[in-house]
Amino acid sequence: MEYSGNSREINLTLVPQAGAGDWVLVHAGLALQIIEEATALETLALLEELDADIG
Amino acid sequence: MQTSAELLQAQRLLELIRKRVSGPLVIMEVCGTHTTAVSRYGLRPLLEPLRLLSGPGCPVCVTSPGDLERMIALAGSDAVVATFGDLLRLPGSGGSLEQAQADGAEVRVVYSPLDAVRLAADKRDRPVVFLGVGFETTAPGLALAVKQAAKEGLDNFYLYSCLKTIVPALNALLAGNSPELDGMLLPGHVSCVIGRQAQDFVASVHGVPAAVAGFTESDILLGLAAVILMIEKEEPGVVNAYPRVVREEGNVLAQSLLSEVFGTADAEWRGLGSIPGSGLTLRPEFARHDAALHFNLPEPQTAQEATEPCRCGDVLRGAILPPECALFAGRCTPLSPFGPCMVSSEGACAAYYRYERKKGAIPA
Repeated sequence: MEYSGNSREINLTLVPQAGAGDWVLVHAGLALQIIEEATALETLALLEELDADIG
Repeated sequence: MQTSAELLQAQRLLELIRKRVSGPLVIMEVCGTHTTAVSRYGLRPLLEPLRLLSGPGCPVCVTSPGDLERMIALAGSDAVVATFGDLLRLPGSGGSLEQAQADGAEVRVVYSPLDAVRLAADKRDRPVVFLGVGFETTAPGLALAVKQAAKEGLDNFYLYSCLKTIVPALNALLAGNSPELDGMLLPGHVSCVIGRQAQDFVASVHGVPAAVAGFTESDILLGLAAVILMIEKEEPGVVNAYPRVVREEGNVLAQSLLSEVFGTADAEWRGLGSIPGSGLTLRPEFARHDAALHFNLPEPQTAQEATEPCRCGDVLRGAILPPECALFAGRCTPLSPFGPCMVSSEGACAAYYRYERKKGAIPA
């Protein structure tokens, strides 16, 4: 895994589906989840959905 | 690095929140990392009259004085103790781990619990005890470490578990109805493990709207906006505002690992007292790695922090903000901390001291 230009080995036991090029959330050397490509648009869509019937 | 799109989004969210909050709403940010982020980004003054209260989500801070005493006793034994760095300076009645280290105890700071297993493999003639403090985010790493030690037959590897789970603590806090909360920001990385749906009870049982949130400005503001919109609609729910990391069901592999290695027990929380079923202890199959069973440790204190002037307990319950403690920034500073909330990088007092100490920056 690379973080801020540093490489270090991490444990992928809990996200076996992760592969090279994936972003993962790591806590204390252990990957806990694959980070899905987040876009500002996706998040904004959630907000718009929430906001829709309030106007 | 932030993109201009992200900043624009943060600004838009802030505008939405400010437009909608006219009265004094109280929202608790449960997680210590949220507290620190909110302070660092300077969000509190921008969000007024919305009031953000810190919660019990800093694992080092909620570690009970009795557990700390026992961990320091472990450091004073013939064992090598390994832990994460945050715990080192935590002050207890009998000093800190850092002081124990200065007095000759072998205290190792490790990056990963698996590093402590390697240490045990290198030092077969000495017990190596990992001091495990954390929530569901940290617990899977410790479960893996214990399993690895068992697999390698490393009988000199032990875990002293102060691991806690957040759901019983939220239940206890909400059932106590103090402080009165209009909403909650739920911890992003605990949720990554337990999933959004595990926290539905916050709204369905306690009627408090909540959002699972991430840790950038936009993440936090999005979570707050979601909560505020639910308050306005009077439709409490638990929204996932951190979908890039948090799934509905969480990480199922991590959950089954936790139930394979740990059972639950009552646990003592600083500030909240004993909470039924909120502690993780090793299952009997892993008893030979359980430090609590193998070392002669001081009896748990029952009357904790009764006479202390330190008000960390009140901070952790959301009863007061750090500057309301008489010790804050006077007798208690990060260099010379009196209580745990000033020590941990996730502690509310440390965050307020570092980022919000300027006169006038803290709403009275």
